[in-house]
Amino acid sequence: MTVTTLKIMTRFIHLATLIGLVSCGRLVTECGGAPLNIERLQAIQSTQFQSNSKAALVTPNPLDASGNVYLQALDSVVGSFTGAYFLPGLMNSNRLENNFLKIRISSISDSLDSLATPNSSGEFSFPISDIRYGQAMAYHSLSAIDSYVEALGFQTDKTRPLYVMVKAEGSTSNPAEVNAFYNHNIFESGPREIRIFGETQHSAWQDRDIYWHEFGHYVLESVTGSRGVDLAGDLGASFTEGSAIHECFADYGTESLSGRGYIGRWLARNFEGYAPGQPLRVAYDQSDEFQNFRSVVNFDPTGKNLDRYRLGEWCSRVLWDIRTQLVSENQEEGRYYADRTILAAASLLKRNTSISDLKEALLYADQELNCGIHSRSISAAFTSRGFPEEVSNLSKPLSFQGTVVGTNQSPTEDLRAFSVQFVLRNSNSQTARNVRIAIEAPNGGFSPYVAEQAYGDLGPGKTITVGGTGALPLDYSVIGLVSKTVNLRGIKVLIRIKIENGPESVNEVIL
Amino acid sequence: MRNSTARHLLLIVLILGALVFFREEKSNLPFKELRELEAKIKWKSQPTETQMTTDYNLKTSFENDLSEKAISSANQFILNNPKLFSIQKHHQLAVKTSSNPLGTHVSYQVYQDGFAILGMNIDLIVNRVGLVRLVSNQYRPIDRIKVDQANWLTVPEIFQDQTIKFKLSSERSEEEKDNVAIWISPNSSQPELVYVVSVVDTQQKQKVPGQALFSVITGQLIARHFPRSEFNEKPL
Ligand SMILES: [Zn+2]
Repeated sequence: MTVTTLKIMTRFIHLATLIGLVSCGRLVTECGGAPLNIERLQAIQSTQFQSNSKAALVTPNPLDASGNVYLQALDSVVGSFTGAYFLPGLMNSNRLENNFLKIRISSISDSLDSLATPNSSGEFSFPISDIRYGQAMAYHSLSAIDSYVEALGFQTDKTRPLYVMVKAEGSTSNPAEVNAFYNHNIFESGPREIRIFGETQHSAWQDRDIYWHEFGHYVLESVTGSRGVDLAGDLGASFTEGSAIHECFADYGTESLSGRGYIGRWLARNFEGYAPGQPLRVAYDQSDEFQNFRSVVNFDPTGKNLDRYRLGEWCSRVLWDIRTQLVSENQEEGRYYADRTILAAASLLKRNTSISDLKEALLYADQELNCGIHSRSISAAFTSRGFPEEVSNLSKPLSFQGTVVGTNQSPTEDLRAFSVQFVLRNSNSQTARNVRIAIEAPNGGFSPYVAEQAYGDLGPGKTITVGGTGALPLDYSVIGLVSKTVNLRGIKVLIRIKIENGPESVNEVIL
Repeated sequence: MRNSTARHLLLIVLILGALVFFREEKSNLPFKELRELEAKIKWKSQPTETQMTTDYNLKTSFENDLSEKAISSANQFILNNPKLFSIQKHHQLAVKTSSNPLGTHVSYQVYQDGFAILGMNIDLIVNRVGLVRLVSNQYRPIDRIKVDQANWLTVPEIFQDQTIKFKLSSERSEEEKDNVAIWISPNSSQPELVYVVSVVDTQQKQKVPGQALFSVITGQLIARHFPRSEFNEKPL
């Protein structure tokens, strides 16, 4: 065999392999295990599959349904955008619940008589201003996204029910204050809970996006076996990369399943600084600061980057880039393969995860599911948005000076709370990546309460100052709890400094 | 040319087939040997939690075979790596599985004397050809903690004395009331026997229940879990 024949054969095999991998109208399936049920995914995505019970809803919300950015809930025209939407799997056709999803109005202990029931035609049909409309929207939205996740091949944790309170009790003195909470009850007991607050002309409970976003938090905890991808945040940290990744997945799931690439145009109308019709967050390219990693992750003395939604929005754009790549390979089905790859990556995230961990997980998931053919586009999605391909190790550790100070944050009167006021300096010529501090009790004596905090990247020559005048408040520091009967002297308190590009260092602070 | 294309394609298919065949060969595990190994370690007796499917219109059956095989591979991985997982005699492991396109996730919850140790899970993934990948190992060989019930406080006793900023959540369910577990903070080496209690922080603007851990011996608050809030103002 001549060299030329060999060359031609090699080229041919290369070409044929590529064709085999991405042609025939499908993406790679030989690496991905069971092929996806595209028909079913499309049916769920377009909310068109059959069920015995239905609800009359305006989906995803009046603004997106009508295209009229000035529309309000009480405008009479809203009703004309109503359609009939499925409510599958009800245990009892008179109540919006199944074995897992339990839709309530104000509390888990709501009287069942107060909840929505269907009309004589068996349809859950209420005006959009009626809170029972919110119940129907909650059940429809959540069962749709739950079916979708399962149709992608992911078994989720149904060992505890998910209660959804569409107008939760315990609101502030201001009933118009919009908020939403996801409570995973991480300590191995109790149900999962979504609580939505606020009654306005653009109530969050009227918008499918809010249910899909909150469900995204549940899905991430579920596919990671509740190992605590943001344990530090769960235990009270003001900022962590894990919390940004939580928001990133919750947004991406909503943006991808709806196909719109943005989230929260309806509920953004409740907040200052948003023009009518402007989404809350966007996953596709915009000429704004969320395009570049540096502008959302570098520590800023004002604390503006200690915000999980800023880094989260950047992260959702990385995921959107990966989705765009898969869609360009297959217009019809790429989105489903992208969602499967991204959710598979999510399932691998470690406890207290990070952006570096996310990148590694995406590369691994692509390798396992798509023969690794997207490794370049995955890496490019990160680097083109400013995430460094490689970071060099710091020449010397960050310098730390800290003192213990009392705080008035003690949650109970038998305990004293203390915090650590500190200055953390990077005197290297390289950036310190993902800087965190943790409080440790090597010999016991106190409980690390808010045990860890994160600060993003600390540039060369830059300083983080927490506590004291002109500095960030102590909410950004760690907290320990100690019994009032215990003498503080003699208790050992360690502060561990963690960075991604260098060894950890440990400092003792004196009580 | 068309014939040669077909031949080349056939060749590629054969090569791919052979690759798949040999990869799967690897996954044939020595089950007998494994069972003997497993007998040496005290696994908790109620192992696999099965999870129902919620695919409302389509019943999916999860292959029990697959999850049994995955558990065996994961058990073997733990047994083969005693340095990584120095499981103490007073600890037991309960296992549960969940399937996803990457394979089967196998997670272990550690127990002592029937009490779950919070925050000490081991998570592995057994991929579709039987290879095990460690995803997360939080196991630490901590000492046995005393669980003598004689000197325990009750939850009402704990709440009765405290001028507390927390109050018991009105939504606490009956089965939740005496939920006792062992908590080991990621940042401490001292395990604590605790009540897991649903509480409301009365100082919050929106009073959303979370969970708090109180020592069963001293009644002191040990840790608290904060629900994820979307539109909270920053502490600044
Ligand atoms: Zn969120």
